[in-house]
Amino acid sequence: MDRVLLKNRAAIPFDDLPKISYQAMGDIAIGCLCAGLRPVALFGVPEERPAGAVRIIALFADDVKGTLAVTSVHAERGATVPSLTPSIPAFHLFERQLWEEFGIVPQDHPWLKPVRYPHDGHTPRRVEEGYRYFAMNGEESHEVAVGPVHAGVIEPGHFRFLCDGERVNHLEIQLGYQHRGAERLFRTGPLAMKSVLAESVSGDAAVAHATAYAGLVEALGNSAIPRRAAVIRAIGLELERAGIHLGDLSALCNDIGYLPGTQLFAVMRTDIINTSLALCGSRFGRGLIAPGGVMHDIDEKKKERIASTVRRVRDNAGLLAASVFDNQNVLARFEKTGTVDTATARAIGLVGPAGRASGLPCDIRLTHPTDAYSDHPLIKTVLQNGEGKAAISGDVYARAFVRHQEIQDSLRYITELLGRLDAVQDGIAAPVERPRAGMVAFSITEGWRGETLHAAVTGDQGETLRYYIKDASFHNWFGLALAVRENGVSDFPLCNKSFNLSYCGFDL
Amino acid sequence: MVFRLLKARWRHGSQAVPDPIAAQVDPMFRGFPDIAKEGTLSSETVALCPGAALSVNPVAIDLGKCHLCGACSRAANSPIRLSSRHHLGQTKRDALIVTAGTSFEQYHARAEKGRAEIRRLFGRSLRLRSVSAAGCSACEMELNATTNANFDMLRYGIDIVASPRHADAVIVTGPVSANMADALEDTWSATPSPKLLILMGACAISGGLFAASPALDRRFLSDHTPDIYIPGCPPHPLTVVNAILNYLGRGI
Amino acid sequence: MILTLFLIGIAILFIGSALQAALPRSVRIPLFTVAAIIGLLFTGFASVQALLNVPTAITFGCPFPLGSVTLELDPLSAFFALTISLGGIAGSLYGAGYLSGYPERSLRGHLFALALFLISMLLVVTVRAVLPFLFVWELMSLSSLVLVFFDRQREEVRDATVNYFIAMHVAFALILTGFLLLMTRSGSGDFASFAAAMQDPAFAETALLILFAGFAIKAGFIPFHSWLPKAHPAAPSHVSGLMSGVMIKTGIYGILRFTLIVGVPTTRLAVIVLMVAVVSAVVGVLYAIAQHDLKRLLAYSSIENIGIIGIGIGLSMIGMRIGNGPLILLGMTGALIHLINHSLFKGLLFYGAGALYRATHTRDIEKLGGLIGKMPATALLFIVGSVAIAGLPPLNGFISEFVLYLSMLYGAPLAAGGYGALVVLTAGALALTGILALYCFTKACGIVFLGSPRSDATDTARDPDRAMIAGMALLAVAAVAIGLYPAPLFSVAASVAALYPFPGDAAAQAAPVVTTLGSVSRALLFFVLFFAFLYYIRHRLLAKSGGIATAATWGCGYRHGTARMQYTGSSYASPLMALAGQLLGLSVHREAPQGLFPARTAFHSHPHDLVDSYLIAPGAKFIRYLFSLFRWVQSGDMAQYILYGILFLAAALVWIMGGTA
Repeated sequence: MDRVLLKNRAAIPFDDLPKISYQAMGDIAIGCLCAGLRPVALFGVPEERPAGAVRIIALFADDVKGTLAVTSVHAERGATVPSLTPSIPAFHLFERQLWEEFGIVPQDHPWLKPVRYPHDGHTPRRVEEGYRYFAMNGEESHEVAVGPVHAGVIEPGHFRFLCDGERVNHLEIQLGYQHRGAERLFRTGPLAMKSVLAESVSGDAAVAHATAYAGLVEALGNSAIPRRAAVIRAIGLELERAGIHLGDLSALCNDIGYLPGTQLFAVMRTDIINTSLALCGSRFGRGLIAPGGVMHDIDEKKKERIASTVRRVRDNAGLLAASVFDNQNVLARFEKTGTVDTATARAIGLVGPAGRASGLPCDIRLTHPTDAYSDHPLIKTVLQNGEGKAAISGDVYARAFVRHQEIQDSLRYITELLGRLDAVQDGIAAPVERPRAGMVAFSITEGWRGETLHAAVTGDQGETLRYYIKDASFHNWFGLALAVRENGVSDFPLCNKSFNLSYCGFDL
Repeated sequence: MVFRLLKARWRHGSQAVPDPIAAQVDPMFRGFPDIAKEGTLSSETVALCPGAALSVNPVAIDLGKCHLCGACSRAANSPIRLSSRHHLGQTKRDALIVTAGTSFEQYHARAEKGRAEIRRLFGRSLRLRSVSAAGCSACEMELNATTNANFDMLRYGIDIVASPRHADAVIVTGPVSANMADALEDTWSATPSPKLLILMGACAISGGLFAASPALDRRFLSDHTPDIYIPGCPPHPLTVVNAILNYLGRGI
Repeated sequence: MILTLFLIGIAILFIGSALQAALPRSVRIPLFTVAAIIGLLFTGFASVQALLNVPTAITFGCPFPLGSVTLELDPLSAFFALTISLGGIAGSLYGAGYLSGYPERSLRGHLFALALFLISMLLVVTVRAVLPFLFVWELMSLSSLVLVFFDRQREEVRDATVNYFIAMHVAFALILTGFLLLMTRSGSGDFASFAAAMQDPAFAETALLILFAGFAIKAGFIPFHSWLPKAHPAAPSHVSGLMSGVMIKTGIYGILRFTLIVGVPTTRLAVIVLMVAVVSAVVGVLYAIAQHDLKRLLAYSSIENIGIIGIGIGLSMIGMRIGNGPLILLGMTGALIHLINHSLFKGLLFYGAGALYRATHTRDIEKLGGLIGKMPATALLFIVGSVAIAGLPPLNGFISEFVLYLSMLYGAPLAAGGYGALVVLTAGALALTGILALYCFTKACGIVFLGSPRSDATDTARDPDRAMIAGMALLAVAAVAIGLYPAPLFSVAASVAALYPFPGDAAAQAAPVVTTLGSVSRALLFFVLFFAFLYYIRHRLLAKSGGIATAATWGCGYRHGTARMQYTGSSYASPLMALAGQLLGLSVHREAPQGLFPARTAFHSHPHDLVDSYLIAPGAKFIRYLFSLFRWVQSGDMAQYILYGILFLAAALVWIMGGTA
């Protein structure tokens, strides 16, 4: 058997993972692609015996059947293996990470460069060292280099544009400045006490990462959470989604100078996150989720507060969005800017709202639902723009419009979930078992950025041997780099905000 | 279309917080820790703290390491209660340590003002340059929020600028990864004197829950003495605004 | 008396240049320079006297075929003679320094040709009859040919020289034709007699058009310009400066002289002149912006400025037809002031380009950068020239364009119907030219002097020697002086303009403008002094507080910046090229990155002169084809040539015998 099928949030014994050859891996990968499976992750787990061995785990998602296909390959540090990237471009960055972490060289990889300059990589390098940028021939073109320290209050990263005049021919993004060694910190001490660390992986997606983390711990311990806790978790996740999307629409309006949009969306965001503050004591949903359930209940007062906020914001956001998306000046800036077409998006594995805006039907809440999303499925509306077209053109407009849709959907879903609260009175937390020994587990959540994966491998005593995090940004940064081609340099901030990617979620 | 926009605007009314200095936050906010005078902390409780901020003899919380997660307050027999008082800024590192029995008023009184010349120069106009030195982006978002329509610290003459050349102060978020150490140093050198150094968030002040990670390089902070410490994870925008206003002599 | 001084000056020039050929190498350049400067001081002084006093004429006999030659220094001639003298002095000084950099060359012929060049130009503007004029005109062309041919080992120079040779002789042919046509009505070769042509306006128009076409080739109006962007870069810099600054003005002299003598026969002629000038100005500067070669950029800029001078002349000619005082007086005055201004700042710019070439051995601005640190004096002088050519106060370019705008401002309300609209549109065109000139020179200065070096061409760059700097500084000082104190030059130019038929009292019309200029100059002086004062205060304040700290340019905290991370000239010009690229024959070769992980991407662009590509090159190709049809005539076969001889003798025999029969 060359692969194992799992559900989301499932754990299986590590030794049950099939061990295939690299040749077979290539064939399986292509087979999965042809069968419509989506590449999700490719990462290495260092093994004790033999010394220097690395088990590379490959994960694919079947969005139709709702399963995950997992397989693994044996490799060694420093070995050269055939690259999967030429046939599966979505694995390009994963193979670069394997090279950086374990020295496994993917032969014929078209773009082998450092990923995040980790402190414990195979060949330690100072940041920026050894990064050979793609360059343009001809002395008349120039390069625009931005970062690491950017003009706004934003995380650091380096962008290298190849321009002739105002037109961008190519963008290359080099990250790694935010590397804090987060994955390693998950391995020190009991895994169940890492909620705050999980929330800090990418602080603007605290609930998403906390949900994935908690689900992983519960899967490893084979624990279940009360249904009420599941509902409250979903409410927290959707509040985070709505709040951030409102902030993104505000930022997009700011970049085109449409100030009514900037201020009014920002104010609505404040409304939502202050509601989050009332719910759990943090505007970012920190401290809400822990393994076993949630740490704050929703009483009648909070329920009324959340319900009225959601009602108000839903109306106001709908009204404002209708006004914004009808404005010809706004559309002139948004449409046909930063386009990623469907084929490219599928090839690079774009996820989240950016992927959906490019026409890819990827949403873990629908395809691999867990907890509240499986008990009470989320129904999405597909709003149409003024021309009666669904927004899947892959440009800034589509990514903005998808956010508008998702705000409406999330707020409606929260209202539905609040209605369910009375029916689920089984408490907000259950005791969580210790992680079982020798297991591997995968926990995927649809954060507001997209597919957020936490995976772990436990050892003989149940200790964490490997903790692996894949933020949605790991796929989507490349989408941004491709989107900016052929656009003007001055449209870059607009494209950047339309993706809104995580630097620290990428750098870990 | 214009009418829709006007309607949307009308519905929002005025969103500005009228007086950020006197404003209060939602009681759920996890702020200043009140530690009962006669209280003890068990070793399990101490181990709960993600930032290793708790000490036992005497019972104390180092707000420079504290992520205000509330785990210690939820432990059994815990003497710690997190109030919703949000004026947490200080000007000395050891002033951030809250021992048992310290009242909020006593704590707040420790916060000093900047020296007279600094207050004269920056009291009515202070420009901040933000450096995210491996921050998780929560502090960055709250720093951005300080200039929005709600908190609007620009009304006090405090604003965020794009270049360190235009700045009077460098505000650092994040635990300072090794990969950002050079850039932080360069930003500081590029800022003209006189300048202030402000640390925002537990990670910036002490490394927080990342303190033990070998991926950090915090030598910059041992070479330069910060002027303002703003604890929290992330600090509420009102905490940020009030810490700065206090330093400039304009707070409560 | 005045003319005696003038002739003495010419004689000193001639003798000095003849003498240097006989003397040893080390003395040649200094001797020539001293002789040139003294000689030109004499001619310059004489010109100034002629402008202030009564004009004088002198006639003397000359061997066949010239007969008796009359030289006259009326205000128009004196104005041009003054321009030539000033330009020549700076050029000689600069040239002394520039040529010292060629120790291996003998320079005898070059210096002699240089003297002949200056002398012939001085004579062109003072002779008054067809034969002498054509003689010195041809002398000017031939001597400048020798000068251009200096770097003859380069193919570019050889091609440019041939091109220039042909263009100058096409011009000669047109001028000769024009003269012959005019002589049919006047009956003599004396210029003064050409006024007779006005009896038949249609005929006069045709003759003048042909004549002006010839002068337009020399001046560099579009579409007669294609020799200019080839010859000026190919020539050594002191020659480029003289050609651009002084020689092309002789074309303008021709147009002005014959407008004065014959008059403006039809309004159509005036409008044609104006249109050609407007096109030259706008298209010239657009081409300039597209160039990477600094001297080619300056050459196109000269075309632009000739266009501006032409705009003044065209407006003046229209004014003469419709009796519009301001247009006549101020248009002509503005053109004349711009003429002398241009010779000053264009000379300065070419000399600066020469200093850059000497220091870096390249004219390609995309290889330069950061030179303000290594060549501060050159940078300062070049920037002064750029500010001047962009027409910014407080320098001289502002003054001449200001006068032109005044002519349009005062003239438009008095012009009826279509002419009023034409004047207003011309004002728009002039404004467009002005802003494009600013765009062009911010590109040139920014890319060459600011930023960091784009190649290793700048590694050993340093300021040139004192003579070169002195030549440039002289021009810069003159530019500043005219900018701050323009009234004397205006009065002089106005007195020249007053030679033209003017309704009413020219002096009365000019007086208020003199007052305005006086106020302008006081304002500019105040402006300059005020900022100098502020700078001084700042200096004192900073000295008190400990000065300015300097640190590396803020680069976002990135420590591996490269020279690629700055604008290139092409990128700077690109937004405009996107609009005007078609018009400029810009060929762009772009290889966009293909696929997710591209292997290669490239961008190259090259501007082509459309007149060259679509008119000249096909024309030349056609002529070559035509002549190739007759190649069989020169087969190289001796027997065939003998046959030609026999056929000719036979035909001659038949003709003679038929004639006697």
